[in-house]
Amino acid sequence: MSLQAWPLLDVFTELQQRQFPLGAREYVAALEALARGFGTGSRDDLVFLCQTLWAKSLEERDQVSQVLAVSLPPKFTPEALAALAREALTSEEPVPEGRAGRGSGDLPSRRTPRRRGSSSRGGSEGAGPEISFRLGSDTQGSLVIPQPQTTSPGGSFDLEGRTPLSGRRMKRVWSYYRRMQRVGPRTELDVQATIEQIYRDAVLVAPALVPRRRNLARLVILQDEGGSMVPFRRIAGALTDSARHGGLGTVSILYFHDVPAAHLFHDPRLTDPIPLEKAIKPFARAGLLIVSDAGAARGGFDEDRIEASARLWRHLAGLAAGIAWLNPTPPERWVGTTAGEIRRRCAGLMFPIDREGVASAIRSLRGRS
Amino acid sequence: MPTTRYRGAGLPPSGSPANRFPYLAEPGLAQAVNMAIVLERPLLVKGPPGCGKTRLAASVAHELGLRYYEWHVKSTSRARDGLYSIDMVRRLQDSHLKSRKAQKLIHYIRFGEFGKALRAGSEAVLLIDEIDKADLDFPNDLLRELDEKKFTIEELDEAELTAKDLAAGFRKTYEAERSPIVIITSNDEKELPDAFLRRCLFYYIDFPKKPHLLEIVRVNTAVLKDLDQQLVENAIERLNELRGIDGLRKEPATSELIDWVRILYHWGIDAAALDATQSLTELPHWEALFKHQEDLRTVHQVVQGRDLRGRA
Repeated sequence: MSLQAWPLLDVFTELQQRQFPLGAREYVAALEALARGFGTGSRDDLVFLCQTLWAKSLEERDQVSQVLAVSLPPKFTPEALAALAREALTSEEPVPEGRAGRGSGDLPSRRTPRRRGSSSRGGSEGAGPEISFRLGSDTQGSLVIPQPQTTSPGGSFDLEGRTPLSGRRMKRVWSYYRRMQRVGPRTELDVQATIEQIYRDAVLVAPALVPRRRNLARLVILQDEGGSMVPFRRIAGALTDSARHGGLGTVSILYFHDVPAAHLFHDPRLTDPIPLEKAIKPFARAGLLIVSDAGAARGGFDEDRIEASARLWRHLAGLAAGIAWLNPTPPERWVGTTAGEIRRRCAGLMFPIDREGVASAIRSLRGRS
Repeated sequence: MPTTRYRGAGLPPSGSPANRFPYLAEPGLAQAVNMAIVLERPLLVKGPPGCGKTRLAASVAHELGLRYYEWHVKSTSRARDGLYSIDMVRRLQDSHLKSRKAQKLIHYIRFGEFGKALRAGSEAVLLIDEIDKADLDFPNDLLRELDEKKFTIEELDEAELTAKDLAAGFRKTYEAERSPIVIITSNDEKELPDAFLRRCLFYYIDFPKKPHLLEIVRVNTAVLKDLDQQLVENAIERLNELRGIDGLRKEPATSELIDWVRILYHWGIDAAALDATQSLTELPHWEALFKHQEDLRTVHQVVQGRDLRGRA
C-alpha cells in the first residue's frame, strides 16, 4: 500500500508538526477505530473521531477541525475509509522508507505554503522509524510514519497565530522554576525520624511528621503593554497564563508602557497606577521577569530609552533574587537597535520566547536563591 | 456500525426504567465512552464545573452493570497509593507487641482504588477524579499501569508467599484479565504531561443546550411528583439570561439549576413567577444559583443598569 493510501496520515503528520502530543500508536489507534466502524457514519463522525483521539484541549479540538477541513479527501465516503483502514491494518508489506515512498513530496505540498516551500527546497522531512504492530491475534502490519519537519523556512508568514512555543510546553517549562520548602501543617510521615525516635525511646510513641514540600517560588512579571507590543499581545498573554498555571508559589503581574517610569499599573489598560517604589518593595527575593520588545519591533535606536532601561535594570537586579528579560521579537532583529544595546547593558540576560530562551530565563530567575 | 455498549440514558442492563441512574450523557460523550472501551484507552473528560464530569463514570458502571471504583485525587496524592500502600506504622507497632502477624508483609498491604479495579477479576469502571490536583509527575507515574493493566508490589519478597497465600489471592504482580474502563476528570487547573495525554481520549462537556438541559433536569427530578414542566422551561430561560451576564466569577451550571428547581418546587412557586416579564433579581430564590458574594453584586449592578436604561 503506498503512503498516499494510508487514511488520514497527512492529517496526523500535520498535527504532529503543530506539536500535538501524538505518537505512532495514536495513529494506529485511529485506524483501529475506523476499522471497527467509528467515524464512518458521516463527515462529522470522522471529525469527531479525530478530535476525540488526537486533540487534548478545546483549542486543539478546533485545530483538528481546521486541518480536516483542508485535508479531508474530496471523494470521502465512510465505507471507503473503513475499508482502507482494515486493509491498512492487515497489510503485511512494510511501507517503503524515504521520500521515494511519498511520491516526491506531492502529497503534503498541496496544503500550506509553508510545506510547499520546504519540500521544493528539499526540506528536512524524511521517513521515521518503521513500526510493527499487532492488533488482536490475527492482524499485524508495519508502518513508517514520516518524521515531522523541524526547520521552518525563513521569511514566511504564519498567519494562523501559533506561537513558536506551544502553550503546553510553556507550562512545562515553568515547572523548573521551583523553590521547594517544607511549610504548613505536618502531614507527611518522616520514616527516618520515626525510627530514630523508636531507637531512643525503645517504644513507638507516635510517628514523626513533617510538613509537605511546597513550591514557594515567587514570580513578578513586568509586562510592556500597548504601542509596539500590541502584535505580541497573544504570545505575551500565553506566557503570563502559563506562568499562572505553572504551579508556582505566587505570580504577580504589573504593566508598563515602553519603559517603567514613575508608575506601574495593575491592569493591562494602564488605568490603575501604583508608584514604582511602592510596587517593587515586595520584589525582594522574588524572580523578576521583564517582558518587552525593548524597541526591537520598530527597530530604532533610542538613547533615552536605553539609559532609562539600564538604570531600572540595575536597580531591580540588586533587589530581586533573579532577573531576566524576555523579548517576543526574534533575536535577529535586536542587532543594532535599542534592544541590542539594552541587552548588552543587562549582562546578556535578554532571551527570545522559544523553548531555550524561556529555559535560560528561568535559570537566570533562579539566580542566587 | 460500531458496538455501542454505553448509551448515556441511565438504564441498567435489565432495561427497567424503575432503576434509572439520574445522568444523561449527550450523544457525543456516549460515543467517546464507547470508543474508549473498544480501544482500551482512558477517557479524559474536561469541562466547566457542575456539568457532570464526575458522575459520568458512575453512570457507565450502572448502565453496563459493572463494579465501580472511585479515586478522588488530592494534592497530596501519590500515584503509587492509588494502586497500593503499606501500613508501615501498624507493622512497627505489631512488631513491638511481638505479634506473629508482623512477620509477613502481606497483612499490611492496603489496595487503592486503581489497584482494586485491576484486582477485580471482572471488567470494572474506575474514576480518577480531578487528576490535575496532584503533582505534575503524578500522571506519568501511572503510565505503565494504564498501558499494561498490571502492577507490581515492589516491597514484597516473592519468597514470602506460601501456597496458602497464593490460594488466598495474594501475588507480587496483579494483572487485570479485562482492562478496566478508566475515566479521568480534570478541572484544567494545571497542564498534564504529554506522555500521559497521548494515551487518553479526550472529551469536553460543554454547558448543555436547552433541549438537553430539559432532559437532564427531568432525569434528576424524577422523584418530584407533578413538577410543572413550564416552571422548568422558564427556569432554564432565566438561567441562560443570568449566565449571559459579563464578569461572573462562576456562572451557574447544571447542578445549580437542578438545586434551584428543587427549591422552587419545595416552596410551590408558580411558573408565572419566572416568566420573561420579571426582573432577574426579582426571581424567587435566584441567589441559590450563585456561589460567590461578588457575583450577586455583579448581577445586581447589571440588572439595575438595565432597568435604568429601560426606564430612560
